[in-house]
Amino acid sequence: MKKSIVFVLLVLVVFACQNHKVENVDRGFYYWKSDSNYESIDAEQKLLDTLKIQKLYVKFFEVTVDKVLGIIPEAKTNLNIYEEKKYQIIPCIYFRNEVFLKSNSKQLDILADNVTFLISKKLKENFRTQKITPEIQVDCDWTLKSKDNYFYFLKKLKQISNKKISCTLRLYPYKFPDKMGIPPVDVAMLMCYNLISPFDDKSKNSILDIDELEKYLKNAKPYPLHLDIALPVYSWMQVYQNNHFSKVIYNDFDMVKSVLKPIKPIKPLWFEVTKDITTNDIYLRIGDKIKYDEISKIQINKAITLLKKHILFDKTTTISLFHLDSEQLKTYTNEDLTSFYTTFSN
Amino acid sequence: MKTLQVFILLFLTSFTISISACGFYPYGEDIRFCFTHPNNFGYRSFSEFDYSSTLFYPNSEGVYNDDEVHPNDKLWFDYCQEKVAITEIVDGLYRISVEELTPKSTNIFVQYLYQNKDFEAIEYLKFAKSIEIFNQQYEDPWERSSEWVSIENRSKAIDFAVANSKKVTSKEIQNRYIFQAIRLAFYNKQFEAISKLFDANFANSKQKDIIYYWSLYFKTKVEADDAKRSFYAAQVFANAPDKRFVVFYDFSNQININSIINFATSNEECANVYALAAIRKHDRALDYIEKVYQNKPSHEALSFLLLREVNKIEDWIFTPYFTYFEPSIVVDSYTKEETDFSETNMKNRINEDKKYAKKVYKFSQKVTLEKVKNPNDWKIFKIQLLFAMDDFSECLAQIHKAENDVKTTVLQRQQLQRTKALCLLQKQTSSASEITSEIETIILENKNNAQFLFAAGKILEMKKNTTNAALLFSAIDNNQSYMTWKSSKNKTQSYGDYFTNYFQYIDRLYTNKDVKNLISNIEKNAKKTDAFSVWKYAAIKNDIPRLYDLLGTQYIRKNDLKKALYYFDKVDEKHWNKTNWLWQRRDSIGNYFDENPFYDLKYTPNFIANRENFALTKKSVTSKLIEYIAKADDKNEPNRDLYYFLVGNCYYNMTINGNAWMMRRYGVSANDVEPYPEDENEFRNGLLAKKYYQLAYKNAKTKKFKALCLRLMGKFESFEIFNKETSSYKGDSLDSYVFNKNKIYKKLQKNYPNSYDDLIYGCTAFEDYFKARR
Repeated sequence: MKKSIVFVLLVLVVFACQNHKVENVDRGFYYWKSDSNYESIDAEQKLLDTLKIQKLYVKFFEVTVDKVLGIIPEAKTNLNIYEEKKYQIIPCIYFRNEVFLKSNSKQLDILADNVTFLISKKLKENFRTQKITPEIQVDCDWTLKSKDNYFYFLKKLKQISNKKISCTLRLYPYKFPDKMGIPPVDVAMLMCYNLISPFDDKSKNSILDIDELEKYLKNAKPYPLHLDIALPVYSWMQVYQNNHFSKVIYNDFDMVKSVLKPIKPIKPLWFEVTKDITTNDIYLRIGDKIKYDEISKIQINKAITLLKKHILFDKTTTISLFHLDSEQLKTYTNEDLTSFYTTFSN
Repeated sequence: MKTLQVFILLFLTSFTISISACGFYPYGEDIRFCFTHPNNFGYRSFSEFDYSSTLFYPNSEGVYNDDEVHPNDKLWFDYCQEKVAITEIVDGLYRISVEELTPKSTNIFVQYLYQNKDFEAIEYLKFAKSIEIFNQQYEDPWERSSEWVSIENRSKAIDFAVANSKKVTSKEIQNRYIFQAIRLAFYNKQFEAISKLFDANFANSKQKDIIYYWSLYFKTKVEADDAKRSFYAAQVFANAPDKRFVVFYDFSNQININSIINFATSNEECANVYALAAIRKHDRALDYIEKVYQNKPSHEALSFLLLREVNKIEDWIFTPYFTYFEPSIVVDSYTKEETDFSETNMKNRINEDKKYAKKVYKFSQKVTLEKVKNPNDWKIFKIQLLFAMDDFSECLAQIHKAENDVKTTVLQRQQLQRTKALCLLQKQTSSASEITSEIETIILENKNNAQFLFAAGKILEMKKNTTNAALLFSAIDNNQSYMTWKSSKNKTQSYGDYFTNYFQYIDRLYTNKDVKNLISNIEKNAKKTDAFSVWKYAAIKNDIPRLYDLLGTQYIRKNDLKKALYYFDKVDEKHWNKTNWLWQRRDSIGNYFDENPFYDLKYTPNFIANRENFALTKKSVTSKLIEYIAKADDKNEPNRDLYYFLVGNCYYNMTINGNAWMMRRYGVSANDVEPYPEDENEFRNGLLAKKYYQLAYKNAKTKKFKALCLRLMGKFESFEIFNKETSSYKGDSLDSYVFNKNKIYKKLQKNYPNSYDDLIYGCTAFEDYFKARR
């Protein structure tokens, strides 16, 4: 009897401190800029080398619906980036949800063919010396109405491209697979950011709120697909002038911070401009309000702890940071960034 | 030793710089002469085809005059039974959006259609506005093809247009739907549909309005048969001004024109073909112009065609006549580079073109002016032809008549005034060439017209009035107008064979007598206060020191040192210091041109220790040269060999290879293959340097100094051989060939075998050998 009690207690302790390690972490980074800035290329290249990045998820283009031409690619990235030999390039294509709301199977067949063609063309033009990329990643915030078309397209893309297909997975469809369906892909990349619409709850960090993250992870059923993880390493400032949202600032945070004072005591993320200043093509005036959604090392580590607690990872899992922008990454040391990968194995 | 070998190689190869190096060279519109400017006439709808050496390009301001009613607007105006103002129609058609096509619209045109319950027209307008976005080519966004793509939604629009054309009752609206379908079919690459739609709806059309010709334009674009396509193009060109530019090249000038004419069913259609054929010709087009007149004297393009022909004649005659450049339209500039210039050929061509001008004039005389459009323009064109034909008396008589014609516009009157001034100058004899008060007035009124001023100056120059010519050329500089020209003395094309200002020109072309007369005229008249004198002397009056410098330099070229010194003496001392580009002082970059020409040789270490120092100017160098020559020629002078040697050094430095080339030139360039001054041989080969080194050799007292003199004589022997044989030499190494052919070096080797290596290859040997003079 005593033995039984000891065993039960031991089991309880183990479950209470459950910590799912990743045995092999593949280090990844997202490259989501439309055009590379020559000034930042060197710094970013160096960072990729230092962090020993194995996979670079590169947005090749986006797909939208044009009223004249129908479904078309847009925002094609200038792919003149970096020494591609050192890491695997994984083409990522972002699809606007409307593409799958307004299309039929015939159009989706053509779309899958077009997407395969254009990726192949871009790879040949820009990454000639690289080994054939075995994967395409599809990024789409699908809805119930677009689900069927989207899943049809994913199957078709796999069939035509004959490649491994991965897709991005927001936390909502992760939590509610019965409702949102399981995308017919080989791998899903769980995107642990942009959890809250910036305009829905102005008191929370719209990029990553730990409580919100836990709500999605807690009690979720094991997902029936291999899961990779994407974590945010970016921040932004939302500018409100005369209490109306006017613009998002993505860089020069230090300059802006130098003229801010916190609005106390009820609004932890909110600041007020104390001096007129021009930055990022915006004229900030005294009294303007700024909501600073900052992602710190501490928040990311908390997120990693939660992920390890709630998700049973496969032996080899890709951890990818979003996104490669030397200006944004100034916030973190190389040690910080390295730890975001290694903590998954500890 | 090795260093000197390298130096010798560099020195010799510096002559071989190719004249075909890339660089600016004036051509095309930069040089084209045009007195009858199209802007002085009103052919805006043809303005894209003004005679020009550049490619035709669309007129950014459109082909219609601001107050002109466009044909399509006129059709709608008629459709509304002339009850709606054109401005409202234009607003309704082009400015308001499809959403604004409602009964509540404030646009009178839209209101009119609703009031008359013309729903067919309203629906058509809605359709036309909604499909505007399809009327352009779209590249394949998926990058499968470099060609433009067909679009599913556009196909649907074509079907809709065709279906509606069958439903509507108005023939006009029906035609408009068909036109829209044809245009959409073109952009959707449904080329077969274009012909089918056109043939079914327009082929037998009797009323050929702008909708017909717009539709024909797309049919032209997809017609495979060259002759038929050319015929269609000619009809579109004649009747749809806004399509002229885009249909122009659909007319083939490579096939027999009769095969195109065969499709014509009326004189007007024939005239249209000949008109476009004439515009497609860059050479003589009189035959086609005559055909246009025969078929339709009132053809809209006829007057424009005559203007084009006048502009061609002006280019062919006046560009070479005044500037010695070839006419602006040149067949092949590369072969031209290799062809020697022939003034005789140029004059023969001008004479041939003058004969052609007479032919064109003769045709214009035969034309019944009452039958053509723009008869007043014809009078002016005839005047310009008379000027081109050198019939100055008749030209002046016709100008007199036209001046008093009320139909002559201000711009045309100004043009006639300029032609009048040039005629008056041309009529003067060489002995009595002058700028009369009448001409002065015209010149002052046109003082910013560089071509006119230059032409007047050149005519004066041809009449031997070089002074007034130079004054006018200098006034062009003063106005900062751009003018480039060449001279008859240039025989081979190079990148530096043209002039951009009067001083370059008179430096090379004017005699010292011409320059003296010019200086004298300026000194006498520059202070006059009448408006013409004030303008004429404004710039050149400050050039007196520069002109005396030129005069002295001209005498240096003649080796008349005393006269050179006389004129250098008249140069204001400030000029030498101010003109630092001419006689540069050493600056931080380290110029070569401050070296004393008697003691320092270019690229050669200093080897003469005891030197006389003095401030370097053209005047001081000339003065010292006279002094040293006198000492050298003095039989009682114990150091005659030294002074001959120093004089040799100075003449050496006054060549293209020396430190003091500015004694003879105002600039040197490797590309400047053929400057014209009389001392060219001396400048390139240094005959005087060789002469004085030889005299030093004769008077030398020691073997070593004699050897040094021979070495320097040999250098000029090499230059002479090189310059003589460089163009004809076919072997591998010209430098070795020149070196081996040098008899003086052979003499040096034979007579002074122990010194030969020292002097030819030695770096420090010159100093040792000079010191051994005594």
